Amino acid sequence: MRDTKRRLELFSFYDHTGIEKHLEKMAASGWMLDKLGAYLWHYRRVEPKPMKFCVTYYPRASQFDPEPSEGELDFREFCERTGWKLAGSSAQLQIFRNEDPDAVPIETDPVLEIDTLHRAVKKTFLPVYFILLALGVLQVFLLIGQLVNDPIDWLSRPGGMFSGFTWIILLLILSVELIAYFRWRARAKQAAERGEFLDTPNTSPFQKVCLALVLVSFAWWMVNIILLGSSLMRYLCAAMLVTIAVLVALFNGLKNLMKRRGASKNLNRGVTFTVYFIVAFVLFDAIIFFGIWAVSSGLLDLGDQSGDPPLSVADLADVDMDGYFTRRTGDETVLLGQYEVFQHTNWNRDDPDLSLPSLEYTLTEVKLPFLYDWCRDRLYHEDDKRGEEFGYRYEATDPAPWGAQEAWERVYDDGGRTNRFLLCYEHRIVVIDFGSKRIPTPEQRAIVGEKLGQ
Amino acid sequence: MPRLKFQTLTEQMFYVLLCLKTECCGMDILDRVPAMTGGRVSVGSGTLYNLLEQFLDAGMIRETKVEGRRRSYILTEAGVNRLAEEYRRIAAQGEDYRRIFGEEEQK
Repeated sequence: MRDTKRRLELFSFYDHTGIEKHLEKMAASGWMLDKLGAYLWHYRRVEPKPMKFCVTYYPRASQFDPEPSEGELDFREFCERTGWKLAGSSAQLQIFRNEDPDAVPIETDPVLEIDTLHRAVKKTFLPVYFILLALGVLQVFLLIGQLVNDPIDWLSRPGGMFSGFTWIILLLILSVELIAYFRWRARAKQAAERGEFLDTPNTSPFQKVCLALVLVSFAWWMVNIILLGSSLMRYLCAAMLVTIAVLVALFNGLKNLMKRRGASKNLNRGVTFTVYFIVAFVLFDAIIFFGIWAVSSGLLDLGDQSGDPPLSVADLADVDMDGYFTRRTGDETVLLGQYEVFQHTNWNRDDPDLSLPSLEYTLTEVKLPFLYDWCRDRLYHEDDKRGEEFGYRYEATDPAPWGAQEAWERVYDDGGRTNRFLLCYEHRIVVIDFGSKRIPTPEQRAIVGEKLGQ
Repeated sequence: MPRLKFQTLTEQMFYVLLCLKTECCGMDILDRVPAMTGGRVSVGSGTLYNLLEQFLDAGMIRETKVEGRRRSYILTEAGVNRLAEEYRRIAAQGEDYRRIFGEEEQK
């Protein structure tokens, strides 16, 4: 039977009443708070007993202090004088316990309690949350921009969806936390005028749900990367995760090392953040440069080139595929999937051999029926701007030869053909381009329907 | 409307200042206030710590000596005046009460 355990506790920084109730419940069930770690709270097994906890704040404390300041030690001694023993602390957060059920609380003046808490909150919680909120708003604006410009691509990329989803959740958490704090503060000040204390809002269940959603989203992204991602994506993902873990360990390791060496708060803060940002810059640059080098040297690939595409030039014409370069890229999510196939001869851009057929197509897999019409309209109109410039547009054509439900052909205003078609099948929309000189024959159209319409 | 700082003193502020008429160690106030009020008023350790800091900042008390972690304080002239003002305010309230209800009703 384990005598210690560690738990991830998701409490708001300001939720002192929520923390107190939780710790009292833990003590009653035989688990006493032992230490507040960097991420986890440490508990040790004890005889179950009622215990009072009191969470207070020492606003001048910092996570970079080499050791508690004289003022902080004085404060703790004041508390000890009334029977409150320090159970754990983390920078400004100070948690005390008392076996006496009738002990005088540490805070007996609600106005002072609100004021002390706000001084602590202004130093850490509020600046960090407001910076993250600004970043979150920026990210969500970028996300909206991506969604407006190329929503199908975005909704098909698990990585894009994961990061977008995570930013939305983060923005939600930040907003809820800030609103909950300021709302509580306003009401608590009113209550304090009457000499009453007001419990802090407990957003812990909400934070747990958010964390669960992010973890599920992360797991789903990982599964997609492992099963469907290119080797470049797998490398980038693994490298980023390792780098983030290294950076977190570096930040805490360096900070704690300097604390042990007795470095002052300001020196520790300056050195830790400087080293952290330099190492982060170097590592992320190294990841990108290595990725570019690995792709250019063939060590990693951008897409799955090993599998056969569902439709190949060889299905449509009698050609030797040895001279062809095939690139398949794509991603999928629970909403949409989008795959692109590019099949050309290994042609010289300056002197292409146009006598050989080529093939390019995009498959958009619509997994939720209500998205179908929207996807079709997006694909129909995606070239509108270029169409106006070059004078072409989609024109309805007979879907029967393609075995499709609907079909459009892109034609020039003067009637010239581009040999690009938009084909609608039950759950899939195909945009296929045969090259400007190659009008697909009825047989080729039937093969396209057979291969891509299933 | 929020109360201006020290415009009126809370009961806890009043008794903390009262304890400091003579030099007194900060921590001893934790015991003195309940003793002085027959247990009617108690001051929490965190509240006392913050009050002493605020009284020092406002110049109402001054530090007299430091022995290890024991810091002693005493009222300044400003503190004495503020306490006297508060006494007059409370006394005026008592006077008003007596005028309205009369001495007989209080018995």
